[in-house]
Amino acid sequence: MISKRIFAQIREVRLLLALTVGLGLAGGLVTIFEASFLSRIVNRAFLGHAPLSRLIGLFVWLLVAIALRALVGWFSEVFALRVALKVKESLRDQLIRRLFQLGPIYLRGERTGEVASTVIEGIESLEVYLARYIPQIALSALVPLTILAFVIPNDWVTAIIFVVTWPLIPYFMMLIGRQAEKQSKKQFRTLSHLSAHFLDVLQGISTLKLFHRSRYQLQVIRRISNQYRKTTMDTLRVAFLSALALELLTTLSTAIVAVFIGLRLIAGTMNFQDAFFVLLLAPEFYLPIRLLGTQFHAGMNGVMAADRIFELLDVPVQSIEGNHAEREVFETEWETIQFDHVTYSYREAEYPALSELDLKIHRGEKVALVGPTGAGKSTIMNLLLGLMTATDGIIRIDSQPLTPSIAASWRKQITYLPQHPHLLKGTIADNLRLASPECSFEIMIEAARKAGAHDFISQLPYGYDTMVGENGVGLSGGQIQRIALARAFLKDSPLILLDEPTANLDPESEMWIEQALRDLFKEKTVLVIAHRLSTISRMDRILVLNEGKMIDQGHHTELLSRKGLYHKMLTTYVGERGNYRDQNPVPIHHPS
Amino acid sequence: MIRTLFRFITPHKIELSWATLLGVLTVASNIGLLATSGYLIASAALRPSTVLLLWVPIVGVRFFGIARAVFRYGERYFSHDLTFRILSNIRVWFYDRLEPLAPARLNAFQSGDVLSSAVSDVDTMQDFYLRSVAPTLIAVLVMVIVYGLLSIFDYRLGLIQVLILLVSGVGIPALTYWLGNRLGTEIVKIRSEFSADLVDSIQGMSDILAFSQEQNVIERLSGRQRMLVNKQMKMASIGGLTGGLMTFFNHFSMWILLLIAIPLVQMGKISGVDLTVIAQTALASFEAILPLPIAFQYLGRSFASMRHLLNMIDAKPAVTNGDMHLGEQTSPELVINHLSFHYDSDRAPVIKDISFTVPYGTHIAIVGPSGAGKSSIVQILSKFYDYDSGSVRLGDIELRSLSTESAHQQIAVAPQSPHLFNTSVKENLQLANPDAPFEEIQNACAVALADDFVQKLPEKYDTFVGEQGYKLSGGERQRLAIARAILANTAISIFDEPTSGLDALTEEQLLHSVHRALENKSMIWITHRLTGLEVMDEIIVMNHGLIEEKGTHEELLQQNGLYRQMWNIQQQMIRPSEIAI
Repeated sequence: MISKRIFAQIREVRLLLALTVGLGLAGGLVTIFEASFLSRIVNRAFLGHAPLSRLIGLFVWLLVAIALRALVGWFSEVFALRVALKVKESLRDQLIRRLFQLGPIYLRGERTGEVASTVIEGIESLEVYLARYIPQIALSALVPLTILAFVIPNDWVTAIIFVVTWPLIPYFMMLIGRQAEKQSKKQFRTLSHLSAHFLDVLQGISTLKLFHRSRYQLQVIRRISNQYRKTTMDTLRVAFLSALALELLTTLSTAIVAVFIGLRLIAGTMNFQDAFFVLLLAPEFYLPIRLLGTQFHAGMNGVMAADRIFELLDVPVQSIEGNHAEREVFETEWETIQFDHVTYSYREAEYPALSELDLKIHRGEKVALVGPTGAGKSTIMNLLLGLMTATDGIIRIDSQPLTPSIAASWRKQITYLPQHPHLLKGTIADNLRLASPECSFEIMIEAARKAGAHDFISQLPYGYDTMVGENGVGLSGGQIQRIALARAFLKDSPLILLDEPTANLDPESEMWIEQALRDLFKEKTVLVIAHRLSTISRMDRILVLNEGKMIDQGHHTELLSRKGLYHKMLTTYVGERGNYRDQNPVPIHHPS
Repeated sequence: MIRTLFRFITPHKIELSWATLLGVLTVASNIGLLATSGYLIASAALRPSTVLLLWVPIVGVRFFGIARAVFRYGERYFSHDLTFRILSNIRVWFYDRLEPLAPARLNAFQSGDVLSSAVSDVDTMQDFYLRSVAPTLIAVLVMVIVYGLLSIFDYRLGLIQVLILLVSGVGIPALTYWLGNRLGTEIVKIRSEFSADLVDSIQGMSDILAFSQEQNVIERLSGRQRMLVNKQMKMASIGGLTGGLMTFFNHFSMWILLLIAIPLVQMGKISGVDLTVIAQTALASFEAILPLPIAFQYLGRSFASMRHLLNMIDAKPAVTNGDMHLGEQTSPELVINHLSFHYDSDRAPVIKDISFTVPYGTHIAIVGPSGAGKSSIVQILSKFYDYDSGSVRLGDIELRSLSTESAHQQIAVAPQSPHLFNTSVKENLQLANPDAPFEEIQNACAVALADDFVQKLPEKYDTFVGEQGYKLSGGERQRLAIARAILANTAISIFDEPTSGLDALTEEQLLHSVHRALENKSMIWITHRLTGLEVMDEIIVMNHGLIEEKGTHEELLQQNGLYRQMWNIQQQMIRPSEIAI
């Protein structure tokens, strides 16, 4: 139950860890001294009939031993926690860096929550493992050995009892530990199942109300809780037996030690002082290993958490040197982007998301991508952003291959407008300045004006200082789009990648976005995943994709006349209404 | 609040007494084991003439050795059982209080995970007994026993030991609290900020990378973490101090009792044998107060959780439950007259003075951009909210004075984001009509175009849908919600944006299928997509809480107003993602 990888991490703090264990061992020694002084005091007072005055010296020593024991306990706890904190900090830093190397493609979807909980709770759960379990492993061997070293010369019979019973404890622990682990996991599952059911009911409370079934759920909650209680208690009744056996072993060992000592005292083969000394040490002998037993859970949880953490750290990243070897290879002077037989396959996927794409985009060209879901449009975007690396084939910027090591620097050439832009927690100004951290307020407002965002931002309670993101003010989809557009104006890069919003925006946002995009596209190289006829009609070239392959390309009218997939796509939806025939599609009626 | 907390425990007095008693006996057995073993060896040291004189302590030592393990077993058993019972009580109590408030009053808690945090609050409170009440009760009772035991020798010994136990059991946790409270609050705050920042950065990673801000974000996160670790380091010192002080007082009590007891031996008031018993008792009795610092921490947490929950349920229901019933009437007309509504008195109204009528048997659509107030009408008709002014009459009875049950017997709703329970497809549907025969369920699904995909599920109608129905796609979930509303077989059916997860062709098919099935009933179809609305008897166009236009599809296209604008925008969209090729 020791994670080797964790030990590699501990190497950096091994001095602290050694200190922790050393202090624990010192604690063991102080315990022995305390027992020794105590047994001497009682022996002299009891059999030697010594008055208190003659015992003062011993009493002082005893107090010193007690104080030392407390101090050692304090410091070893502090050091142990420091070990844990340092390892946790370093692991968490590594994880965060790794997340940014893995990028959004790996983290998309449901993984977000799971990954975040690994970085936060997963690492937190290592604390008990590192601060208690690992030092305790060392101590549960070292402290009993030390005690044994002092007991052997005094009382070899007890030493034999110790030696015989000690290995039984870890043996039992392992033997029943697995079973206990299974049981406790089962209990944990039961509890989380109950919680999940309760959450399910709470979340569905309005649905229940709509069909006037919500009061009835009270009985259901009670009934399910009771059922689970009964079945769980049945298993626990058995599971607790293992703990009973372990407890019996240690208490009975102490009892046996006491009885054997007593018999030898009567026989006169042992003196009282030694006897009391050994008796005092008996519980201390078993204490470390019993503590280890109580940390067993923490140990298991820690190893499980560590597995998950290292799993994440081990996810292959195509090239890590990218982060330090960040070369500024791209001046704004590039002329072409070329896809050369580019193929991309997702790991679990049967078919490639993109296969053998050949494509050349010249500077200043405006290109639209159209095609059904799964055609490979987003894959092209992600490859060009350097968020994914082609499984096969190569993307070149002029003659320079787009490798992970230059991706970060290449991205400075790109403005990317996703379909659902994310506003980070912070003020609107913070979010705008993401694109240009040092820009002046005037420039920022200018960009917001161009994007049609200035008016509604000014009307917000704190203007540009209004908090957005989680717990911030709620913005409509169209407003978020306009803020993202303002960011794009601020960045002012030569290449624009746009995934047009499909969501139904209000007519006002539609109008603003339409105009802003017209502005933004001027003199830029543009690649758009298009959803609007008006956008397509402004493009120099339209690429028609299907199932990862480019099946056609050309201008709007050209493609229509070929009556291929493009024609089919447009006619299926709006065909009967005939609008697709217009060279300049119906202009949007601007609200006054 | 404390009374409320105890209310969950008091119904189980018998279990509580057993669990506490066994807990006390467990600690007492350990004291017994150590004290008798001390007594045993001290008596043996006096070399009695026969071993038989030691028979009692020998048996005693063995008895206590076995008893401790057995008592511990019993204690664990009873306290776990009790915890489950308490948990059930808390859940039932919380649900009972929350149910009348849902969903209107819950919307005040903006964030989506309020409910899951409520669930974990409930889970925290289950520990109230196991980790707070039990250790305190056990500590008090053990102190009484320890006093009794030591007073056999001299009452002063008992007094001093209990005093030290009290000082350590209450004083040390108080000291820790005093030293660490502020730090602890800061740590919680920094940690939650850190985790919010992290989640936000993961969700916004595309944007961060696209703007080349990754280094800055990594550094900011590292900085936050360093701050957290620094505070935690300080907290570690305080935590260590607690343990150290406990150890010190534990052994110090033994030290001081000996200091007092030795002169008593000299004076012949107690026997020398008793010294071992006194020392061992002093050492063993601390077991009872060791869990107290943690008990107080848990107490704090239980209080905090309790406060959260009380906060949530501290509200008046948003709707008055009327006492009128529609009775046998099966063809009610819905008349909305000058209706106005706002969610909060300090927020702008979302519905402003609207009027329309749905004669029985007509099908109407409500359309408009997001934020127009469409869904708020559904909220009112679901009797989730009361309206401010104007009237909503269902079959000539004001909705406000209609009983909730009667209203739901007349109106079925397929909500925008329907909730599916983590059970089978069939059970999810039966919610609307528990006694419906299977044919009827299947029929409702056929109308909602859901039967086809349900038949393809591994166990068809008996397939479990997973938490929140995650095994199904958004469109599939919506179709099941539509089937559920149809199965309810009510006079009026409302579909709130039922097709946002569907493609245009399926949407049109679905609308026509539902339209045919509900031919003799009333239907309100709410949508922002203008697909297939030619079949509607009337279309109501809303914007900014007002009704802008009314009419049939053809009429509205003629008018060149908002409907026409939305129509034009829609014509602009190619929807390649939705084309079946």
